[in-house]
Amino acid sequence: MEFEAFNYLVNVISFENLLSMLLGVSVGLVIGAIPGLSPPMAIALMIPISFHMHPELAIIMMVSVFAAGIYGGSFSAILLRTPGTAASAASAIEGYEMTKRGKAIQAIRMSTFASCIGGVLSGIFLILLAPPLARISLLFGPSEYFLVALLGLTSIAAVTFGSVTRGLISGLLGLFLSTIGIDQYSGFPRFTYDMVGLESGIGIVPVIIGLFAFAQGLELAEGSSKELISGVKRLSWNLMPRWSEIWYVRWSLVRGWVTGLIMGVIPAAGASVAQWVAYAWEIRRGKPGDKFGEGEIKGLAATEGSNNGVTGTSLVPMFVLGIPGSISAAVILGALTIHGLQPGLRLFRTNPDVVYTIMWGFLFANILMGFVAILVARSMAYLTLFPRGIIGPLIIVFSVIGTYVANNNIYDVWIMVALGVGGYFLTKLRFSTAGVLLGVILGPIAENGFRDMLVVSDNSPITFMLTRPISLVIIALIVMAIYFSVKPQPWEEEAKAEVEAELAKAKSTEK
Amino acid sequence: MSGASVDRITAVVCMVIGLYFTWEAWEFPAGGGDFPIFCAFGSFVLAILIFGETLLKTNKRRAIQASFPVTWGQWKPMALLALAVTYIPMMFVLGYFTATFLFFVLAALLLGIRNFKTIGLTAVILIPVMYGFFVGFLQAQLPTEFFLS
Repeated sequence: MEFEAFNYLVNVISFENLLSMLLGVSVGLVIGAIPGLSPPMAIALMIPISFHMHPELAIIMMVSVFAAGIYGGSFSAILLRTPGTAASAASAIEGYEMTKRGKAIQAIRMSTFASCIGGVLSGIFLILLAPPLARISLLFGPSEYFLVALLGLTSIAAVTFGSVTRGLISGLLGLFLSTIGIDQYSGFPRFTYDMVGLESGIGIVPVIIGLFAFAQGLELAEGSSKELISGVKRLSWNLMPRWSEIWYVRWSLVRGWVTGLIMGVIPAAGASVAQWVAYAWEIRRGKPGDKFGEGEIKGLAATEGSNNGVTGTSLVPMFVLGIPGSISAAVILGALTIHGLQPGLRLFRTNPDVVYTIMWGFLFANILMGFVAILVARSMAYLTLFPRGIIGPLIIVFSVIGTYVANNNIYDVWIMVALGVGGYFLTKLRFSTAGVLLGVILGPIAENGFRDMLVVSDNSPITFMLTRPISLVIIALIVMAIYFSVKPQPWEEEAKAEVEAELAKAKSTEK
Repeated sequence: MSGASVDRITAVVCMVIGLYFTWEAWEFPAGGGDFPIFCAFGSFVLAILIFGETLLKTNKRRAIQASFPVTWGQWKPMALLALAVTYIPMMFVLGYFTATFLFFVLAALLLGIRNFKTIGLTAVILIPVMYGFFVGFLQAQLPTEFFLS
């Protein structure tokens, strides 16, 4: 453990550092909330602004943007079912159902609390455990990456209500989509049909926006246009979490935070998978009376706790080894280099004041994020008081511009529209659009791990996996995930009994 | 259409997709077909599982599945989709903000909003905010208005 870090705590408490954090948090929240605009984009935008800043101030601002950007995606996920970032897709499931039931403010205050504390805990892990955690991340090889991707995909089965096989089919569809484009190993175009727009593959941005935002825009066009999303005409002012709410979801929060902290260390795969593993774990721990899929606050607490719980630990490989574990970390690494700081264990020895001040800055940014979010949240929640006939077209407009601005590529916009239509009908047929998204995100990780594993194991992947302890642990987790997906849970039995009783009543009324 | 019928169609579609991907991917060089074929194998397994579910489920559970029918009488989302598909190429003809203003107003009217004050106010606030944020702050390169070119 690195107790030396406490020597630099007082460095972060200065007016310039706080202003830098405030700017970073504000920009991160706004950009994270808009579908199509991502935390890496927000961080990259701040680089030119940071040129004339002291390196510490600059990097503190960027890590603040990162932390707030991940959380900002939850606003639109909860209020409009249009996640601003991939990390908030799981929160859209329970969060939006809470909004539909007039509990938008309750959802936001729980999301803020879970994310703030998750981010703070993640910051503490980053500060105290960075070097040993980095050594763990180095132990992950091709078979581990392949299996982590499979673990994430089996989590889909656990979070698809009604049919495990439909959830797995959704994930498989995402995997198929991820194979479209030029094969990075051979340079051969796969499933492109000579279309230039498909050669670079299906990007994450059109998938998220299409499946969630555009499809949601189409869904809001159904029914009465004057109806409000939230079903209530007034919002409460109470944005501070209640102790009774926190107590009710205490174990859900702990499960979310633990999942995020552990999985954040796995480069690339961890952040995408963590929220789904946390959600699946929460569903499997459900009790009779829980209403997963219908606005269960425990589900939201777990996903929000995990998606900010990964932020600090996901920076561990970047700070300690100079290996970025995510796109955001890669941009921050670029910023560090621009400001003359070379990450790695050497930086901890030569400039411990700089690196630990930045880490403390990250931790305090998460606390500041909570206060700023409380101020911003209510104004954003007013969106739910707009009629569906206004919100639907607005979502379509932002879907188009969000997709176009990401790469200035009109093909992405058409792909987004196609996926939006597909997502709209998939939802009608009770498939999981979240599963498709997860398949697209994890497909490249699974394929790279799979093909590297075939090479390293000399085409004996199973023998290879069985000789690696971490692979065996992940295999055990996959088996458990499949078992618990198939085994009915107490709250599912209760829900099924309710449906059977309703059907029986309907039949006797017909007679 | 009952839930069991939808499941059977899904199983058939899974099989067809799996067969198609296998057929296409078989010739990919340098192991490029390995992963798609692995996924196709997964789709065959899932197709068998979902088909088996429809045969093994009891009548009571099939009745529960049948309580979730697919409805097809949804014309408004398709009309909105048609308008969106028209809006996208029009961005490059009329300019982004002109096309967006027209799309938003027409879409709101199409969906049944008749409060012209709400539509007008939202559009009037939306355009400058989007301009300031995307063009001013993000420096995004959006299609120029036809009357400015």
